[in-house]
Amino acid sequence: MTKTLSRRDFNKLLALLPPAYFLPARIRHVQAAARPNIIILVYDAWSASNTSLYGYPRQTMPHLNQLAENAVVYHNHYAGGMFTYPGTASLLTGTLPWTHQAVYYNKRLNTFFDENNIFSLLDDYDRYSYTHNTIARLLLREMTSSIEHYIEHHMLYLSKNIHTPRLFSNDYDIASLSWVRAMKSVDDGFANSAFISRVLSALSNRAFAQIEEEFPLGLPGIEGDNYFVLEDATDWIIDQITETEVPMFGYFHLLPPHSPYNTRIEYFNTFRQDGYEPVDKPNHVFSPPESRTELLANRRAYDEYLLYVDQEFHRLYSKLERTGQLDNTWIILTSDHGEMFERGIKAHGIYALFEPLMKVPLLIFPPGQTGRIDVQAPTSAIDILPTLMHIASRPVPEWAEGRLIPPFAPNYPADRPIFSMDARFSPQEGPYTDASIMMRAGPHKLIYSFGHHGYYENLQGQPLYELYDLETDPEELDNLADSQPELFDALFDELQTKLRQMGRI
Amino acid sequence: MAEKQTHPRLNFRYFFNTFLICAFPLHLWALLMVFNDLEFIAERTDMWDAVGYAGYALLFVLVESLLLAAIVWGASLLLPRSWSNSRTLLVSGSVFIILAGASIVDMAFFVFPEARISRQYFYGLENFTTLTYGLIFGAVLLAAALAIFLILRTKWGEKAFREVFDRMMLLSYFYLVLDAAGIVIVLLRNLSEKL
Repeated sequence: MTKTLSRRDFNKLLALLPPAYFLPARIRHVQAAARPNIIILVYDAWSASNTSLYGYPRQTMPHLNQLAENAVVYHNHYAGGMFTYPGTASLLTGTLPWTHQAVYYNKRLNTFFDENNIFSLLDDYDRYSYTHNTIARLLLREMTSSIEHYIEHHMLYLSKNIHTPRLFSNDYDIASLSWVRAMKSVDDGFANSAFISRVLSALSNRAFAQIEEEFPLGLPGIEGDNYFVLEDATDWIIDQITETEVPMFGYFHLLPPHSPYNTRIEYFNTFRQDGYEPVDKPNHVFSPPESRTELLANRRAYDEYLLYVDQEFHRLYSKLERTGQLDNTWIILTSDHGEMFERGIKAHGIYALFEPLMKVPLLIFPPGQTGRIDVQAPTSAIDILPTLMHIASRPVPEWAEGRLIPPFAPNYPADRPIFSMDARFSPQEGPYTDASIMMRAGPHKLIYSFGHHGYYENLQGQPLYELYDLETDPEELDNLADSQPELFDALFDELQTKLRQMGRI
Repeated sequence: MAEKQTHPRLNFRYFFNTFLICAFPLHLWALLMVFNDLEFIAERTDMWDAVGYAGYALLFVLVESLLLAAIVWGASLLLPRSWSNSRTLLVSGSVFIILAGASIVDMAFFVFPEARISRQYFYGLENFTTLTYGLIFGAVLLAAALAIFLILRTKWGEKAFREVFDRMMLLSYFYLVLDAAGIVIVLLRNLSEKL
């Protein structure tokens, strides 16, 4: 049956035309609103062990304690590696170092992940990345084909190094390194250039004199006088989130509280003579060793630096809350690895996989979340990618080694083993020759170290087995490897099986 | 009409000799530092990157030598015209060498980790650095005055400085060869992806 259109019907339809003109944009907006922004915010070298939210006696992050009331808080979250390069690669690829192969600066990320990574999977998002950290930048640079807004690290430094990239764009890393070593004498006290480095330092000191008054230990920086202030990065991130019109995915990797621990003046000396005495632990076989005085001084400086990080995250969170962006933004707050000030070991250069170095904060702030959810089950950095896929309603790729975590995964096995490792001296493929491998299984943690290079030389050819019960011995003081042989054998078998499966023995 | 006389030091030969003198301490220090870093870089990346690092370092120190030679040469134009070019070069060059030496010794102090001073530990002790730099400044002034005195007032002093300078200039030619190699390395590294 055919019905002719009357003049009256035609006029009715005509009246609908003006709103219809705007319809596509409206639909786009509604779709955009349905897909929230996703932000991964990484504060480098941030240890859960020094964070008040996780029970550290010093109130290092008072704002975070409050903000966590509207978040999912993970209490046993482990980094994929023990320094920036492998730890960040695990975050970005959802795989452990035995797969992504970025175990040291001279070992490139497995090329498979250039096109298969956290950015490539979120291809309908407007993707941003920024890092202060030149090591994390090495990884992000390999993924630039999937990042619309790849911001170079020096763009948020106080003095932007724009000439080296322009002059030596094909060889930026080595040119930049040579330039830094030639001209930047501020932190080391020496440079390859005997004269011009002094002139540049003097000019730089004059330019930053006013800001420097706010930082009694010196400005935060990386590689000589590449100074920055965290406020610039916080403001820049806020601007990106508030100004974007389509859903964005941002990976923002900020250097603090990584050394140098140059906190702001208002936090300087906050914990001086506060009476806090951390447990005195015996020096580890891998320790240089640092003196207890040095460790205590550095721990205090680090803790005071955390106050600065806490303030800046609070400022970012509050601004997004005020502008309503939090209603449409997921924030994943975490770190690439921890930091340690015990057993004669300072910071994170040494491969002793103890909790302060391996356990990092993870908080997820879902949009509009009210109430706090605490997750005690052990989780890993490699789980962030699958969890992000869940948030973005995407399938988890087959190559991802992590899995969806609570509360998004209702049947999550609490005794699932969590692995992490250092394998810097081992070949990228094939059996490990030198490595320290950590396995957390239930309350137990097994660390298996062997090798001949670097500090592994201290083992004198003998493997080192360390087994701790983290429920009864959270400070990891009582090595059960010898006293509980059955438990050790069962866990070691499990570790060996996994290493065999990954082709590493 | 009287012929207009050009300044006796306004010639390429004099500038080049000044450059050779300036290049010597700067290259010596830069090369020591580069060798200090090479193993670290080769271990973290590879040998070609370490060679590249040295190439850039040589390029930067060449530019620094040219800049400082220009300054020393400009300053030497202010010295009495009655002095021979050779004597002027000895005076300006020795002052430069002493300044460079002081700067290098000051930096060398920090190269050794045990001699480094924790900024945090000494924070607030302003007199420490004031006194240190006061002493260095005094020693530099004294050394420069002594060198100038020996060159201008004693024949054996002038001869000794001249012989030392001759040897330094000869060594600087060797550094120039390295600089040329550095430029080639930098060009290769920057053109290789485009080729």
